[in-house]
Amino acid sequence: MRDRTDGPMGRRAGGLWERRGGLWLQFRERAESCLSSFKQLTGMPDYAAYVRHLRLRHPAWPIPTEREFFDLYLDSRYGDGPTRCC
Amino acid sequence: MRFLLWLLVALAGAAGWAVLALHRGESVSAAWLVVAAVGTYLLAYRFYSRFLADRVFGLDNRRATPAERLGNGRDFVPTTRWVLFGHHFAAISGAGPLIGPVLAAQFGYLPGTLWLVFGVVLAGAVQDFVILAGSMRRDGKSLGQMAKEEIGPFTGLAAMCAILAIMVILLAVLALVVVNALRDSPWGLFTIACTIPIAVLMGFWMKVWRPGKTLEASLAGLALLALALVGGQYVASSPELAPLFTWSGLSIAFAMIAYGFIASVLPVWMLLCPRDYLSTFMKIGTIVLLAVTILVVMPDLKLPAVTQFIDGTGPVFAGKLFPFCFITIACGAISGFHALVASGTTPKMLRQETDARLIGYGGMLMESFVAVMAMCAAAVLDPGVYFAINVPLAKLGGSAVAAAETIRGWGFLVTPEQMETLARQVGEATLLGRTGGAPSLAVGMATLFSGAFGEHLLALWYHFAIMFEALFILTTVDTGTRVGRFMLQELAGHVWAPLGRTSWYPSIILSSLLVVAGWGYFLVQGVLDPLGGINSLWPLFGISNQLLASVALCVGTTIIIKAGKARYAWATLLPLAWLLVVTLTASWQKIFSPERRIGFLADAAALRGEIAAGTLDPERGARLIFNNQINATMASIFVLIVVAVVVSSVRDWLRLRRGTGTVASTETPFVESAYAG
Repeated sequence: MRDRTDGPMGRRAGGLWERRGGLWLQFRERAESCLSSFKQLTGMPDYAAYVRHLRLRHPAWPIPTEREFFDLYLDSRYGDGPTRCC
Repeated sequence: MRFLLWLLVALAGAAGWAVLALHRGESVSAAWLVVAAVGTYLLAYRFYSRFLADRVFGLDNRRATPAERLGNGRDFVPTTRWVLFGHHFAAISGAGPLIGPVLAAQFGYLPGTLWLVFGVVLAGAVQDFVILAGSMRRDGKSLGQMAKEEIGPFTGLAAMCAILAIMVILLAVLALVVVNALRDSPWGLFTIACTIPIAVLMGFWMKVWRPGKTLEASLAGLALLALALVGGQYVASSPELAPLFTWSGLSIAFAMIAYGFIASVLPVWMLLCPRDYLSTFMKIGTIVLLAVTILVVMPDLKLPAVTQFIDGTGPVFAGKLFPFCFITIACGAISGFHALVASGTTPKMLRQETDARLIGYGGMLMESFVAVMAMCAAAVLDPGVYFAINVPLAKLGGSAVAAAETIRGWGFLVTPEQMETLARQVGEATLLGRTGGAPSLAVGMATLFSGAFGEHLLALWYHFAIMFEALFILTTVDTGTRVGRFMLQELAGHVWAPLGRTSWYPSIILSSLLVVAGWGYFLVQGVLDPLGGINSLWPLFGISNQLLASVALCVGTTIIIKAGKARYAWATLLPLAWLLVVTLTASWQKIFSPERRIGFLADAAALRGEIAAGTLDPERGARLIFNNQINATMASIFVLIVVAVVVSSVRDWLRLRRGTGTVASTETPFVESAYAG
């Protein structure tokens, strides 16, 4: 579960959303985790999760833009080997 | 309490099988089929997969998975169990498990269902699980790499050639299914043609206009897809537009060849990736819908449990129940192709070692369940209607009246009016002789869906089902051509290094052309074949897929023996032995059978006789003879590759047994997982 402890809020933490109270925050967090699961299920790129991963594991590395990340994703998903079956 | 629950599951499954076995000559509800299958799956999952996971592999959650150790946030990502289950399932299931059972329904619903359920439990799910677990213990290595490292470089090369050859046959036969479903069907062709601009639009959306926003692009794409489906009806009924979209089989085949080439050369984001999303969405949505519908409608199975065609006289494809039932149904019972996915993206996403059990074994059970539902969808049709759609027109006698007469001769009733009404209801000019399984599956699914949601939507559901199948067959065609190109480039790279550079344009174009020419050749010959092509190509595909499974099981056995678990090697050796018996018998019969309906060489000889007697145009005859020779050559190549792999594997096992071979573990060393505890 350690990937989640960082929280999906990223740079917005302490901003507008927190002032609305914990419930809204919880709902948002739950919705974002559902969305993230859905993306993993369908094999879509998950930018928020990647940023979270970089912050946690490689804090010194530069964070790519969503456009750059999409190119990295296309390379690793369709680079080689079949992703689909008959 | 636990014990009672499992006893109940066992009893329910047994009751399902008992009802199926005892109800002969009267119709049985499809619900019994589902109960029998699901009961068996649950028991097998609970007991046999646990045995494989605990005893044979000793899966251990304290050991970190590749996703945890090598996590990079892109392909190596620790993924929640059920999410990965869905992901893996979407990757392994395609048109195969839907079409095979529909074709095998000519033997009746029982033989196919028995092979689907017991085949998956003892063979298919075992293969998927063993390869997944083996790859997980080796940093997510591919089947080809494992064959090379575990058994030897020769085996690695042989496995690679086998995969390439199988890809060519697979793409040809799937493309042929689409051609048969879309020929002379303006509605179907319009809808499928629309998916290309829709995918390009989505591609530009998520790459150029709103980078990375795949979800919103996909939702827009789905909305447009629905419009294209409804719009097709308008096109089909318009006297100006309908002729524009009424194409012959040959024109569609050449269009698909051109499409495959373009898709393989274009950057992935423009066509391939958006199509991939669309077909994943459709696949998961439709399969859930189909399962719910069968459970709600609980239709009666109208097809007999066993038909007289088990003796080998079947009109859909030739050959006796053994071995051809086990060749026709590959995906759903055991599919070698899965070994490629189980050693591809999935092992890099496992969060914990024990998850491999649900995802590898459970995912394959789910695929088998889809195949059982496809069998139900075929079996709810009137047998007469089933044969009228699935038998080549030439064999039916050429016209609706003759077809009714021929089918009556087989003991099933269908009238020309009945077929005409059905064709009109689904919005097609004719349904006679639409071989390949997709149209009859679509009629079955449309019947089920309209039973649940109202009769008046039959045409819409039929074309929805056709779109659903054609969509992911086209996705297989474009990803398959691309993968074939990569493999060809890798092989060519050994000959001349620049050819191996996957981004060098001359090499891309040359290798794409070669791959497309390969499957395109078989596709065009299939379209021109007087008996519809499915007749000869589908068994060839089944044989190749099962032989790839044999290669995978050889690798799996080696992995188990090297892990010091030789006493459990029967778990993979038994399915391997069965597959070898089935596929080698089938290949032998396809090549050497003296009956021209079955044997390629016998057919060639018979054609030569017809030319000599002057009853066949010599030019056409020469082409048909050449095709038979090519098919026989392909079958021989498959057999030779597999015999070579099996022999070298057995030599390796015997060496290991005598203790002279190296038993060095090829597993990645143990690293403590942070998820454990």
